[in-house]
Parts: sequence; structure tokens; C-alpha cells
Amino acid sequence: MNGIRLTPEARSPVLSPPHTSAAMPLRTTFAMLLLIVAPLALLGWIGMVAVREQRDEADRQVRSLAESRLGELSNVIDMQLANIQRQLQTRLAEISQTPEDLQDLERNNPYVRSTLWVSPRGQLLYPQPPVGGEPTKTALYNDLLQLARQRPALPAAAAVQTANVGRMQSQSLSPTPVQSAKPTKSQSLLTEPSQNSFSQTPWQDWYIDQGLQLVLWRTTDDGFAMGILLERSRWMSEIIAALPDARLGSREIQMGTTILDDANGYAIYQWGLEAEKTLTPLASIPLAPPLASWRLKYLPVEPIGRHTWAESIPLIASLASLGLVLLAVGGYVISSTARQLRIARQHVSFASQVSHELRTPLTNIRLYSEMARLDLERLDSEHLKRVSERLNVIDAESKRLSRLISGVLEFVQGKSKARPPRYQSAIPDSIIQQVLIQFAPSLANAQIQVSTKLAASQAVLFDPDILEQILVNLINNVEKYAANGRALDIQSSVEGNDLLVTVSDCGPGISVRNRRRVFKPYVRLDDSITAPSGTGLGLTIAQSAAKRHGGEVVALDVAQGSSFRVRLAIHQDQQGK
Amino acid sequence: MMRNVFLRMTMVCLVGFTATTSEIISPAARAEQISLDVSLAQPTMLVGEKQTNYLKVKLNGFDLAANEKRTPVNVAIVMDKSGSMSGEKIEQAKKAALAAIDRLRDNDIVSVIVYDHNVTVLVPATRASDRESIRAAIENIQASGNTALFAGVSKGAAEVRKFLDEKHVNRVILLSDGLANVGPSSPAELEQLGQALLKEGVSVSTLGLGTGYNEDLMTSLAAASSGNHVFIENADNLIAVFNNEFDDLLSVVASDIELKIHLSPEMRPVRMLGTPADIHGQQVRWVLGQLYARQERYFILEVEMTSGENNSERLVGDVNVSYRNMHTQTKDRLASQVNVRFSDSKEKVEADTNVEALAFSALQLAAERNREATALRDSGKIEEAKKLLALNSAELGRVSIICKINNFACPDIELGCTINKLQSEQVGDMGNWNVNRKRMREYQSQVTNQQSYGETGKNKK
Repeated sequence: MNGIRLTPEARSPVLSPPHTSAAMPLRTTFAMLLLIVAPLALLGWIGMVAVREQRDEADRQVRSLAESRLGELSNVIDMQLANIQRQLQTRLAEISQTPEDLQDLERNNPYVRSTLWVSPRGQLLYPQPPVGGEPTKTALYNDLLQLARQRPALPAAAAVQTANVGRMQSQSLSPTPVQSAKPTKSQSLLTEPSQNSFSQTPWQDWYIDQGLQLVLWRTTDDGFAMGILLERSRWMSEIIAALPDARLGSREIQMGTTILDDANGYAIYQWGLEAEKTLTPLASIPLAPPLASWRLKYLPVEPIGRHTWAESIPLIASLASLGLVLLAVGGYVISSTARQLRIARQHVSFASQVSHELRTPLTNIRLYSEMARLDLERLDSEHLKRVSERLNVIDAESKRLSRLISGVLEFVQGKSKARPPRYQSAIPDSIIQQVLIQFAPSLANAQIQVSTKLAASQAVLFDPDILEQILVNLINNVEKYAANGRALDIQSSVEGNDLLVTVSDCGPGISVRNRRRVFKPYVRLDDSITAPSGTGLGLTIAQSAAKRHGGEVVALDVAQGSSFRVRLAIHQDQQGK
Repeated sequence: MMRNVFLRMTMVCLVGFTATTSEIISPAARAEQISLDVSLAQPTMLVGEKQTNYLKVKLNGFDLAANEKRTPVNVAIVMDKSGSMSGEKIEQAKKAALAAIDRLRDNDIVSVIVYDHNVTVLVPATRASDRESIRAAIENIQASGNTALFAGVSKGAAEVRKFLDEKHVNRVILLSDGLANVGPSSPAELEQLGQALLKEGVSVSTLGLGTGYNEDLMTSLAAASSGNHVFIENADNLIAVFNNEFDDLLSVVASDIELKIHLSPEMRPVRMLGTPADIHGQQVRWVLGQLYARQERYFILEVEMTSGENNSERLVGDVNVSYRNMHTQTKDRLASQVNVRFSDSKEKVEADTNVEALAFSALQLAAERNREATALRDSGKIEEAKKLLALNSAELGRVSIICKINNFACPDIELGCTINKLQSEQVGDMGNWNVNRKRMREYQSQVTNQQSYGETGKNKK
């Protein structure tokens, strides 16, 4: 039969798997990744921006908090100074302008380092030049002389209190309690010389010795002025005492150090944790006049803006989970696409296999019918016999074709449209024999020795067509794939309500891994070009037929070759008995 | 070695002094009044020349009877806990402070302030009755950090100020072993703080521990506020020093002492020896924070006098002292006058010399020269410093002989002679200048302030 069959030269172009389709999943994968990466990156960027803004906002809040705290502290200092001012002004108002009173004030008031009495022309009337030539006292006296001169001459309405002179900075962020609401000194001096001696700041900033000195002035109606050079250490000490100590401070601002700096940036007092001096302060505000050249600073121990990773954990976690979701969706889409692609490819392959399968019997039919026609032209007894043989072959091939088609149809139409088994009384062994007769020529052609051990010779109720269909598919497989084993063994038996038929060969066998897979549609263990043609449906059809008959086909675990056992549920034939 | 000699001399001096003071306090003296004694170094002066004389004003604190209710104190203990204090020093300081707390009575007021770069008011001003929590706070002190000395004293003063009351003895005790390096830290600034505090009636005693502190700063602060100053070389002596300081503190009999001298027109006040005083025209004024029981405190005023006629007598001036008597809690006054005589007999003048006033004048003058020597050494003029100290020693030696001839025991003079000699030898020692300078400052401070105790010295009383 091999010689008659058409050589498979035509099938290679059809069967060659279209591997160009493999490029498509790659592109798809790339596109999918892009679809995942792009939104992730965007989300990440938006997240980072949000976090940065959040941090900036937090920084701003911390800064304004620190500034308001420094403002409170500045008020504390203001209140101390205002207190000192009130006390001293009261004293100045009480005393008479005599050296004795001025001296008494100087001797007894701890805030007073020296008193001054200055004539309207800036002449220093008190203190007197020191006796004894002690250098520090002489130096102080000379400084006081200069101070008296530096006190600016007052306008005609002499009651105006002396204002900021010397090197006092004029910037003032907030009016101090001691200052009037009047806009500037010069304006008020020019426009409305006030009678109220408290209308303007009576303070003068003055720099000698260690730095800023405070001078408090009071001018009387006659144009004379009394001044107090304050004891710098005393008011500094008072300010320090009013500010928090390390304990109080640490409760208020825990994370840094607060520093009171003088005009040269030298720390007068500090409290809190020891921070790096080189850091830029988080907040820094000038004190109110007359201490406007001094600043309160707050330095955090850790520079603000250096945030820990912990703050970003929620963002990172949500980004990561979002990414995972995107990845899962993408993965699902990619795998389902790949599956559909595979199915489509299998369908294409199946169609070409089926058409190929159908062509072989069809060719035989055409060949034998042509040969039969030629025989008919030369009809004699010998030829008549040969015509009969040829018609037999045609018949057999037609039946094979019809089985093939019905099997494919059955599979394609699905189980729902499958025909239910038609039980009829028959002897299983005779069905097996019929099938073997059918295959005899092709098996002989493939030099396959057939051995049988049949023990189901009683008539039972079953569907012979289903049994035949299963056997044809199994024997067909042996013929196709296990021909080199040169053996086919069929055994049958009836055990209880089961008909058991085992079809074995000595071919290459099926690996354990594939024993279940081979029953799946379109699965061909060898899908290469050189492999025998086939639809990949034979075992699937056999299995579904067996299941329709309440049984199954299983691949048995054997040492050599392969062995399939068919089990069909049968009914005992009551009539036959 | 040298130090040992010095210490032994201190002991000798102190023992000697006890004898002197017990003589001065006569049983006849009123027990509840401080006594005032005014004298001249040269009660009789040569006719014809414009001369310098020394007016000595001496105050004697009365004795406090035993079992008597002493004046309650209001004390702030300000302790350096900077890193340099760690180890033995801080432990000894804590022990000393704890021992001091134990000596306080329930109606005393105490506060404890510690500072490094920060200041911590460990125990805000409170009655000493709450001993347990005060003790616990002191025991928990740990040393670390920098030295914010000015702020520490400021906070201490603020705590004392909370209960500032002239019926109390108000004091800040500052213990430091390091250079002030946070906040104001010049001797002038601390001196001014001390002056202001004295006006309020608060004295600051400064205890310099080890060799790392700034002796100029610590002595100025103590001197300006009428407090004591001690150089404690060995931390083991801390408890003894604290004890002595509290002996002083608990034995204050008079406070807010104001001394006013009004000189006659023929007299010209030149200066107060060893300490700056207010001199305005003929008026001289000086303020002292407190006088301790049985303490003898004197002031020497240098006066220039124009000559009078032979055998004439002239009023030098009136001396007025006002003070707060801590025993009776009243404001008391004392007044005295002193006259000077003129003679053309040199023998008479010499015979009439007041050895005691002369000796103490010499002591104060020597202390002034000792200060000058420190300044010379500071500017690198070692040889000149050496010469000046040697001169001091020689001068004190001369006065010492005069004292001996006149049977006046004044161990301070002999001690001064020895110390100046030692210092003259040591002033060139480069390696130990830091320690020697502290000793010089301590010596100057103790002579000027007539302090009652030193590092290991027993209390004079």
C-alpha cells in the first residue's frame, strides 16, 4: 500500500509551522511592558512631586512654628527690657538733677553702670573727671564724654525725648511695647515735637568695650538730659535668666538648639541640643529695638530637608502594589494572547493535517476506481475478479474516509452533538476481527505481525461502531508511529460489566510525562516535518468515544512500546442467553 | 615641693592669726555690734613736707553665740558639669555639694544649677527642708559638654533673686574647672556682673578647680561681688573647701556694709589700696558684701596730707559705717574720727609709728606689686617680674623686722615675704606658669579680700 500512497512531498510547505508568529508575542510583550512601565513611571513621578511638596509644606510649617516660637522668646526679652526701662524711668523721674542723686542711683541700682547729666549743649556735667588716675575709670569717663557729645542736639521744643542715635539699626519688624506707633523718628521730630517724653524710644545703642551698650535718656523741659549707661552684664544676665534653661527648652523645641546671638554673631546664650554651628539656622529673627542688632536663631540638630526613607514607605508601598497589579494584568493579557495564538496556530496545523489525511484515501479511491474502470473495459473472468478486489479497496478506503470525517466532525461539533451509543447485541471479538481484516493489507505492508488473545466471544450489548472507531484510531496510531516495532498485540476480555480491550505495540513508547497529554486535542508528540502525518486527534476521538460509552482509554505503564487499554461499559445480552 | 612649703606657711599663718584675732576681740566689746577702729600708719608726721600717710579702717565681726539661731542663707550652688569635670572631679563636687546640703537648716533656701553648653536649673530655689529630692538631683549629675559660665551664674543669680531678702545671706557659689567658652566670657564682663550683683546684695564665691580655669575671670567675679576665691588644685580638697565656704556663709553677722570717709580739706584721698573705691572730692566710699563672725576686715586709704604746724593736731576725717546687722536684723551705724599730729622731732615721729597699720599697708602695697608682676610676666617681661617680686619679698622682710622689734605678731607679713620670694624664683618657670599664675591670683585675691580660708587652710575663726 505504501507504494500506492502518494509521497508526502506536497505537505511540507503546508505543515511548516509559521514561526514568524513568534515575533508577534515579543512585540506584544514589549508593548505591554511599555503600557505598564509608562503609567508606573508617571505615578512614581507624581508621587515624588507630591512627597516633595508635602515635605516642603512640612518644612514651612516647622519653620513658621520655630519662627513663632522665637517671636515669643523675643517678646520675653522685650518684656524684660521694658521692665528695666520702666523701673529706671521711674527712678529718673523721681530724682532731682543733682550729682548726689545721680551718684546715689549709680551706686545702688544694679542695672546702672553709670549715670550721665548732659547740658543742652552736650556738655557732660556728671560724672566728674575721676580722681586718682585709675585707667579703667578714666577710659570710661572719656567714653562718657563722647557719648554726651554724640547725643544729638534737640530742636527748639526741647521736651522731645532723644531718639535712636549712635549706631543703632533702624530696622524694626514689630513695634516694641516701648515704641510709639509713629512711623519714623525723623518725621515725628520734624512735624510734631511731642510733649510726651515716652512717645519715642528713649534708648540709645552704643558700642564700647565688649559690644552693644544700652543708654536710657530722659530729657527735662529745660533741655538738660539725664542718661543711664546700663550695666551690660546685668541686663544680659537678666535676659538669660528669663530665657528657658536646658530642661524647659528641651521640652519646647526638642530637636535643636536655640541661640541668642549678638551683633557679631557671637552666642550670648544658648539652650537645647548641641547642633552643628556651621548649619544654616532654620529660623532667625532679629530682636526688637534697642536690641535690633541681636538675633535669635533656631538650629535643628538634623538639617531640615534630610528626610528619612521611612516617610516615603507608604508611597513606595502603594506604588509597588500598583505596579504588581499592573504586572499581573499585563501578564494575564500576554499569556491569554499567547494561548489564543497557539490555538489559532493549532487550528491552522489541524486543517492542513486533516486535508492531508483526507487526500490519501481519496487518492486511493481515485486510483482504484480508475483501475476498476480500465478492468471493466477488458472484462473477462480474471479481470472480473480483479475488479471485485479493486471495488473492495475502494469500499474500504471510502469507509476509512467516512470514519475519518465522522471522527473529525464529531470532535469539531463537540460533545453536545455527539451521538449517544446505540447498544445492540454483538460479539466484541468478531468486531475486533473485522477491524483487523480491514487493516490487514496496510499492516502487512508495514510488516507488522499481529497477535491476538481474544476472550470476549460472548454476545453482549454494546455499540460496535464505537468500539470499531476506538480500535481504528488505536491501530492507526500503531501503524503510523510504532511500525518499526513490527508487532501489534490485541487482547480482549469481559470482566463484570466492563469490556476490556488492550492494544499494545513495540514501538518507541510514550514517556510518563506525556501519557496524559497525548489525549489532548492536536497534541502530537513529534510535530516535526519528518513525522508521520496525522491530525493529532486520534486518541482524543478514541477517548471521547470511550467516555460516551461510559468507559475510558488509558495509556498503561509498560516497559517496552506502548499499550492502551480500552474499557467500555457493557450490558449482558439477555436474549443471547 | 614648693607648693608644700607654701601650704605649710599658710597653716602657720592661720594658726598665728587665730591668736591675733582673739586678742582683738575683747570681752568688753559689744557682742551684737561690729566694731570700728580707725588709725593712721603715722599718727605723728614731720612738719613741713607734703607727705603720704595711710589711713586704716578696721571692722571686726562680733561673735555668734553657740546654739543661737543663725542668719538663714539663700544660696545658689552653680556647678560646672562640662566634659572636663568628668571622673573624680564631678564625683568630689557632688559629694561636696551633698555635704553642704546636709549643713543647711530647714529655713535656708537653696538652688542647684549645673551648666555645660546648656544651663539646667536642677533645683529651683527652694527651702532646704526638701533634702531628699535635692540630694537625688545632685546625685544624678553627669559631666559632658562645654562651659557656659556666664549663663550659669546668671541663672544662679536669678534663683537667688527669687527669694532675695536682706534678712538672708544671699550667695552664689560657682564651681568651675574650665574656660568659659559659651556666652560672655571676658573677665571684665564677669566683673561687671559681680558689681551689679553686689548692689543687689548677692555675693559670688568662685572655686577654681584644677588648672584649666581662667583665674582672672574667677578672681574678678569674686572680688567684684565680695565673694571668696579659692584655687583648688586637688579635687580631694573640694569637700573641705565647700565646708569652709559654708562656714563663712553660715557665720555672716553683717551685710550691705557701706564705708564712707569724709576727709578734711587739707587731705587728699589718693586711692584705696588693692581695691577700687569710689572717690569723689573729699568723699571716699567703699562697699562690702558681708562680714563674718569674728572676722577682722580692714581697708587702707592712701592719703596725701599737707603739713600743719609743730605740735598741732588736725582732723583727718570722719569715718561712717552703715550695715545691716544680721543678728538683730536692724540697720546699724558706726562713726569714728581720727586726728593727725605734727612734730618736728624725727624720733618722736618714728616712735609714734602704728606698726599694725604700717604692716597691713605694706601687705596691701605688696599685693598691688604682685599684680603688677603678674602683668609683667604676662607681657613676657620675666626678669622685671622677678625683680619686682624680689623687691616685694625684701620690703615685706623689712616690715617683718619692724614688727618683731615692736612685738607685733603679723604672720601675714612673713608669709607674704616667703610667698613673694618663692614666686620670684618660680615666675620664670615656663612649664608651671599656668599653675603659678593661678597661685599668684589666689594670693592677690586673698590678701585684697582678706579671705578667711584657702584650699587646705583651716578657717581662721
